[in-house]
Order: sequence, then structure tokens, then C-alpha cells
Amino acid sequence: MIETIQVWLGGLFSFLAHLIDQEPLIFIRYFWLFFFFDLPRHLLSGCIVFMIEIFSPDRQLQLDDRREVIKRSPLVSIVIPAWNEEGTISQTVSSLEEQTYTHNEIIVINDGSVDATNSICQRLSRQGRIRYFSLRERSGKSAALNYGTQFCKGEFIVFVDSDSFFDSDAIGNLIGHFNDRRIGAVAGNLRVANSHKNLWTELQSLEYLLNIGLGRRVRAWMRILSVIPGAFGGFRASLVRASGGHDPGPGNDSDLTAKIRKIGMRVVFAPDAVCFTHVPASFYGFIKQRLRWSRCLVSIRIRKHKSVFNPLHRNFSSSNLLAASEPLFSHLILSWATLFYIVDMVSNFPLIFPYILMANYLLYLCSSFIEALIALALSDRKREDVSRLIYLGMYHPYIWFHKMVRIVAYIQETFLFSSYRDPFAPKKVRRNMESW
Amino acid sequence: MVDSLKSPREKPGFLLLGSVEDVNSVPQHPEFDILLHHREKDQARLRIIGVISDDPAVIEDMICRVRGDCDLALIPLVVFSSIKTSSPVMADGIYPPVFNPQILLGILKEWEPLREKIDKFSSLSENLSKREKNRLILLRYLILRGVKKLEPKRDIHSATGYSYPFARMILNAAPYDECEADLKIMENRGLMEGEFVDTVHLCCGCGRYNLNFREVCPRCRSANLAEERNIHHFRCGYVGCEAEFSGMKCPKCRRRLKHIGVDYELPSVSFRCIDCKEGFGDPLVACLCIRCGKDFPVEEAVKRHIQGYTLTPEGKRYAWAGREEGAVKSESGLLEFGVFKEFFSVQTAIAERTGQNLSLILVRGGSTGFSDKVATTNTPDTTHRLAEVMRKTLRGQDVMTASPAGGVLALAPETSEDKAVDISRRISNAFRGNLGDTPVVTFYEYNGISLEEVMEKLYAPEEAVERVHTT
Repeated sequence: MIETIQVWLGGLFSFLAHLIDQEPLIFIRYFWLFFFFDLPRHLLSGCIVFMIEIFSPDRQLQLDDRREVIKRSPLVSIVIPAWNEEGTISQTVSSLEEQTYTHNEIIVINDGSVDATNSICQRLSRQGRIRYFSLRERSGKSAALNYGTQFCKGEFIVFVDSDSFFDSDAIGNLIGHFNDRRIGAVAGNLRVANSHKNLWTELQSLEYLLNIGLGRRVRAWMRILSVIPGAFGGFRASLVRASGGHDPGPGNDSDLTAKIRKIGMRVVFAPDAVCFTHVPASFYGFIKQRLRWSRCLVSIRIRKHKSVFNPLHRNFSSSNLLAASEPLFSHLILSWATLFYIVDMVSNFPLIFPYILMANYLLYLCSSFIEALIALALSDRKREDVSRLIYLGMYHPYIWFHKMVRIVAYIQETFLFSSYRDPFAPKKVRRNMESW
Repeated sequence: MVDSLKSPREKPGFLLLGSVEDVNSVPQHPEFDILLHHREKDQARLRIIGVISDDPAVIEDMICRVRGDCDLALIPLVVFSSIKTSSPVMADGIYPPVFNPQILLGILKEWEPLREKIDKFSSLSENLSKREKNRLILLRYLILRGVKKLEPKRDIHSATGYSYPFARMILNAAPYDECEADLKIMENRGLMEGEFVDTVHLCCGCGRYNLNFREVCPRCRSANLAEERNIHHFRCGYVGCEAEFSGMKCPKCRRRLKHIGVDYELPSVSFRCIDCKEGFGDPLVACLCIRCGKDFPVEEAVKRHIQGYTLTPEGKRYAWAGREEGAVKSESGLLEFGVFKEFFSVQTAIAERTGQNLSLILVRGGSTGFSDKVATTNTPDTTHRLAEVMRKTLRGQDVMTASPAGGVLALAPETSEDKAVDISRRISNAFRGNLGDTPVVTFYEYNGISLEEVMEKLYAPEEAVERVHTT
């Protein structure tokens, strides 16, 4: 075993030494995926955001502006759809009751739960802690959210998941961003609540820190943020109603965000509005979730909102085009590019392919390490996030595996319209959903 | 109850209650006497009671009076009336108002077996309070009349909406809650067994059942609510109240809704307060007491179980014996006189063998107004009060009983004359300010005579060894 490793390492070092003697073009030929796709997408953009966040002259001004909104103290309606959430709904409500921003109402919608969710929520309602509404049968998350929206009295609506917990200043920090009248929606900063459960959750936690957390900062700065997460996102109530609320089916959060953007409103990210949410702890659960997310790219962004790509359309805007194009590039194209890269290397450099792979691993490890340092610098939980760095060694194999899952999802959705069979929406709704 | 043995020379009595003309119209019979009034000396020979009237209210009133009297409650009662109705509550029979002597004799003989059964019950102890006597009479009534279960009946005049009509009569309980309290006491003592019949909700203010339960707005407590059905359109996911779907068109996507269950569903009902416009899923349920006007949440309503009662074996034993099995103490915690006599015998034997002293102390109403406050000192209530005060003064080894001649008699073992004086003074002082009066306390140091002789001396004012007065 040790001898084998020694042989491989020896081969790798020889390969690297050989590269040093080569022209730069050869270097790029071997590692074009990294240099043309991942390096600009992750590392360069991360560095730019870091510089902007740290050295922004308007930082204090922005904070003061946000405090003005909080001083005005508009009513915020927090809508929680719940389906069989007897284990977490009480904690979610308690977490929201602890918010420093107190002028809020909590609305819980029971989406036909068959466990003790109903009795728990009735008790909370009798105690005057929530406004509670119940649907007799499961109608799907979108219907539950729309039902709750009907009873919202607040100027702003915050949609959260029923298994999420929040920093005490999360709502206040979220709402503060509505100081700018051009802002229609604000995305909260998601972190993983069950990160220590197993390796899968640790890796997902790292992904939330790097790809999702840092990535959203980048997109928000570039004004191309295209998803307000369903687990924690704030909207102007008037816009939610004007846009018709949530449409049924998976991807309802990206769909609503797209509609908000089409109205002409801006969408921003609140890194200081922190929400902890649960991620799938099992391999199968992870696959199911990522397949659903990835299918939405095709069904929602390409099919349903294809008008954003049409420059002649009346709703066309360049920022919406970029916002819609970015995930196509970073998810769809990059995933296929990764597959194409592997095929390219295997077919053109079969003898040194293992060393190319190992060298890629080292490159990505260095890149993600720098990315992690940037995320740490911007994090408000540095001690906790430092401990995640020990999983960096497994991070990029995890990401490459995730890309393969995405490819499967894109094929499923393109040829089989699999999202219309996703149990995210109940059958009675799926049968009637509009197909794009 | 008075000794049930009657003289063989006394004719049985037929007590008639009614108007003077009705009663006087009834002829005498050689084999029985028509009694027009109830007197204690006639108790033993009183075999049956007849109520003569055609007025149901009068009949009911007379029955109430009879059944509420401990001495008469168990005696067979028949009604003579020309009104054709089912037997009134608590009447044993109804007959046409024909007062042929032979018919009356036949009625008397018909109910004689029941009357003889009453004679088999033991007499009521004098130590029993009036309420306890009524409870005992009720138990005996249930046995005699073969009533298996005391069922509650709906009664709009009762605080709980239920009452026990004939239990109330016998318990002489004018307030409904006293009757229920008596039944509960008997249940707690194991004499009756309660069985669930119904649950009632009572006002937390006045305790009555007259509640109006209504749905109110959780925000402003108004009862002016509108109920809205909600429609969920599957295609676009819109959920809104029915009013928004005018012409069955979805307000979001403008498509027509055609088939329920296929295009859309009615997933819920919500409410809207017409006064404050608040929308909510479930209204609060509030109670308004019609009687006192108190408005409160339904959770604060007092829940009370209404029970039916059956006699337990212990209850039957108690009814026959007149006291609970194994009980040596009366209701007021005093020893039964028979038990006291036994105790006296044992203590006197010990005193004679060991040479120790033994004293008896009698406390009863005095001459300076104490007796003015109560009719006699022999009422159980007075005895109870005397016993309470004395218990605090006497020692643990001293025992007390209610003397049949009145007052409370205490036996103090290992007590010489000097100590008896001291105890007596302490008892007198204890009464001062307690009952606000001056009882008479006499004591006697035992010197070998019987208890009856001791009691004669204690009661005879001239022959008491010492009398202690309090000023």
C-alpha cells in the first residue's frame, strides 16, 4: 500500500516537473476546465467581493439606512408552511419569538399534516403566539404559502421553512435591506443546522459556506441574484400579491424570484440575516434534493421564464438576462464541461490521465483553500467555520459528484419532464400544473 | 327512629293528610285508627300515610313534607285522587278517592309488608346530625323501594341542570347543591358508587349551567363573524376565499373552475371578523353566562361530572345497622356510648388492680344563657361544638362520648381529684370566649360504683362532688 502511494506520488511529481518545463499553453491544455471556468467563477469573484466588502466606503452609511427601516418598525408577517413537522415547528416558532425585531406576526399553515403538527399549532394559537390556519388535506407548499399570504397584514412577508432556526437579529437584518425602495426581495444567509450529523452534512455545510454563502454575495454584488431561498427570504407584500404568489411545483422559490425581477425590482442578499436549516443527512436524501433543484433550472429558468432571453420581449432587461444566464453557465454548462473535460482527458491523454486528475485535485484544493479563507474573513462565526476546513480535502470530489448528479437531472428534465412527477407537489396538483 | 315494637293492644294507624272535609269524610274502622296528625307517641303504630287531594301541586307539597320528615320518610305513602295520572314521584300508590273502610283496610294490609320491613332497621343514633339522619333515611329508602340506581333528571331550576328529585325530598335539601354534596359525601365514604352520566359546564362566576357558547374573534372578542370557504386552484396554486372567485374564475390566472376535486378543491374554512376585519382559521370559543353576564373563555368553564348513584354493600350495611362497620366514633368524633361503656369497664378494672385514680368529667350547658342559645344541650350540633373545644384541652389518653342525658362525658384515666379539678378549670377557661357562654363542668373521681351511678351523681346538682362555675 505504501509502496503504491510512493509510486503514484513519484509519478505525480515527475508529471509536475515535466509541466514546469512546458509552455504555458500546455498547462492550460491540461487544466482548461480550471482556468476557464472554475478559477474566474470562484476564486476571482470571491477576491473581488472580499475587497468590496472590506473596503466599501458606504458600509456605515448602508448600516445607518437599514436602521431607519427598523426604527419605522413596519409590521412583518412571517409565514411558515408546515407538513408533518411535529418535531421542529415549536422550536421554529420559539426562535422567531426571540427576534430583536418584535413587530411581527407569525402565521403557520398546516398543510394537511397527519402527525401532531395540528395539535401543537392549535396549542400555540390558543396561547396567542401564532395565527394558525389549516388545510384539511395536503395541497403542497405553494398552496400553503399562498393561503398564508392571504391573511398577512404586514408590509413585508418573510417566508421560512418549518425546520429553520434563526439568529435573534435575523429578521431585523433582513428587513433593514428594504430601505432602498428599489429592492423587492432579500435573501437570508443559510447555514446548516445539522452539520455535525455525518460526513454528508459536513460537506453540505462547507458547500453552504463557500458556494452558496459566498456565491450569493458575489451574485448580489453583481445584481444577478436569481434565487431567494424558500427557507428564509423576505419580500414586499404588495409584490408577492401582484406577482400572483407562488406557482405550484418544485422551484417555486426561484420562480417567485424571477417574477419579482421581471417586475423590475432588485433582489439582494443579507449575509447578516442568518438562518439555520436542516439538510438531508442520507445519501439518498441528498440525491433527491439535488435532482429536484437541478431539474428546476430547466423547468423554471429555461422553459417557464425563457422570455428573459428574448431581447424583444417587453420584460427584457440585461440584468435579468445575466441573472438567468449565470446559473445556466455555472450549473448547466459547467457540469457538462466537467464531463466533457473528463472525456477529453481520458481520450487524449490516457496514459497521464491519473496524474492530470491528481494535479487537478491539488489545484482545486489550493483554490478552495483560498476561497475558504475569503469566506472565513467575511464570516461572523469564524471559530465554527474554521473547523470545517478539515473537510476541504473531500470537498471537490464531492462537488464533482454533485455535477454528475446535475447532469442526470438535466437529462431527466429535458427528455422526461421529471419535475412534473416530483412528489414535492401532491398528485392532485401535479395533474393540473401548467407544463412549460 | 323510635322503637318499632308496638303494643299488641294498639290499633294500627292510618295517617290521612288533606283538606278538613276530605279527611273528616273518611269513616273509622274497628281494625285501624284514622290519624289526623302525626304525634311521636303514634310513631310505632303508624302504618301508612294517605294524601287526599285532586290538586297535583297540593299532592306534591304534601309528599315533600312527608318524605322530608325523618320519622315519616320511609312509611308507605299512597295518594287518593280522582285525577288520572301516573303515580306522583315518591308516592307508593295511587287510588281513587273511595273511602270504603274495607278498601282502606285492604290498602293497609297491602302495604303492611313494606311497613314491617321498616321496623327491621335499627334505630337512628341520637348522635347523628340531622343531615346524617337524612342521608341514612335515603339509603334505607333505596333499599326498601328497590331503587337500584339514583338517576339524575334534567332540571332547569338546578344550578347544574340536573337534580335528583326524590333524593332532594328525603334529604330535605332545598338548595340543589346540598343534595349533590350529600350524595358526594356518601360516595366518598363508600356508601354509594357514582357512575358517569353526563358532563356539564358551569359558569366560573355563579356556578350555573346557563351558558351560551359562541365563537368569537380572537382579537376583539366580537361574535359578529363571517365564515368563508376557501378555494385552491390546482393549476396556478392560488388559494383564496370563495368570494374572490366570482363567476368561478380564478382571480390569478383567470381560468374557469369546472370540476371540484379535478380543477380545484375546498381545502379549508376561515373566518373574518366583521367588526375588526381580522382573518383567522379557528375562532375562539367563549362562554357568556346568561344569568350573571360573565364572559370568559371556554377553558375557564367549570367542568362537573353528573353521576348516577348505586348503593354499595357497605352502604347497605350502614343502612341496616345505622352506623358504619367498624365505626366506634360518631360523626363528631366521639366514641359511641356503648363503646365508651366498654372502655369504662376496662379502665375501672385497671384502676382497681393498679390502684390508680380515674375521673369522669361532664360538660353541658349552663344556667347563664348557654342553654338559651340552643334548645337543649343534647342536640348533635351543640355536642359537636362541645367536643371540639374539649378535645383541645384533654389529653391523648382521655376519651369522650356524647352522654345520652346531654352534654359530653369524658373519661380521664390516671387522674386524681386534684388533677380533675385542674382539668375542669382548663376546660371552663377554654370555653370562655370560645362559645361565648358558661357551660357547667362537673367531675367525679371514680370510687367503685357503676357508670350509671356516676352519671346520676354528675347530673344531680346537689350531689356533685364539686361544681365549677365560670364567670
